[in-house]
Amino acid sequence: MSPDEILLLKILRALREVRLEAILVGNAGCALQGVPVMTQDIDFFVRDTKRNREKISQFARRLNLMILKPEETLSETIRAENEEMVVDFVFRLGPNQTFERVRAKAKRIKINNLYAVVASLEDILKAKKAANRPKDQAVLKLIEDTIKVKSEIEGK
Amino acid sequence: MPTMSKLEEKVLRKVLKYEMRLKKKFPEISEEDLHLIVRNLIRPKSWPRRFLLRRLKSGGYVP
Repeated sequence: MSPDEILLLKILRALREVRLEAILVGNAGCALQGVPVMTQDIDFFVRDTKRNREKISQFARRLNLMILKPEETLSETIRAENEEMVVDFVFRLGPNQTFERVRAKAKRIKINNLYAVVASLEDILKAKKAANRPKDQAVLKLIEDTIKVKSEIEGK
Repeated sequence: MPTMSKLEEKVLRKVLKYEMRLKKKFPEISEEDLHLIVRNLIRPKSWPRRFLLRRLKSGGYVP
């Protein structure tokens, strides 16, 4: 395993320990499905519930991560980080992208002995188009190209 | 000079084969991107995945 896979595995284990159901999105989710991108942070989509916000705090404690701006209890993103990693939890994706809908189309990608639930490239693309930040715009074409090539290789 | 394993050679030949076919079908995709996409999609599971960037004190980024 690469150092990146070891780090992701550590995160997946901690999520499992606190029983937080989370879908990997963002560039890390893209990279695991073949898009040639790199990232500094690992983004997860979670249901916005009080219990999940508590579980995120437990997750952060397990990995010795600091939650910045914890007072913003109604914010749409929680960032937990330390020197080693930056993990973002988002409660909203694009329009009509409920947790259940995204999970229904998500892929299970094996990382050593655990599976990461990863949003489909189509859902990540849709979320990035909705966010429309410069960093999202920069990877749209790569995601679209990967979807086309993947479809061709897999004979769809 | 390190030598390439038989598996590496086999995979990279397969990447090249796909690229030759797909570049005609998708001329709008640059050859560099096409190579990386195909390589990522058909890589053996045993090949390590690198996707995280780390920021150096100098301000630069490295995988």
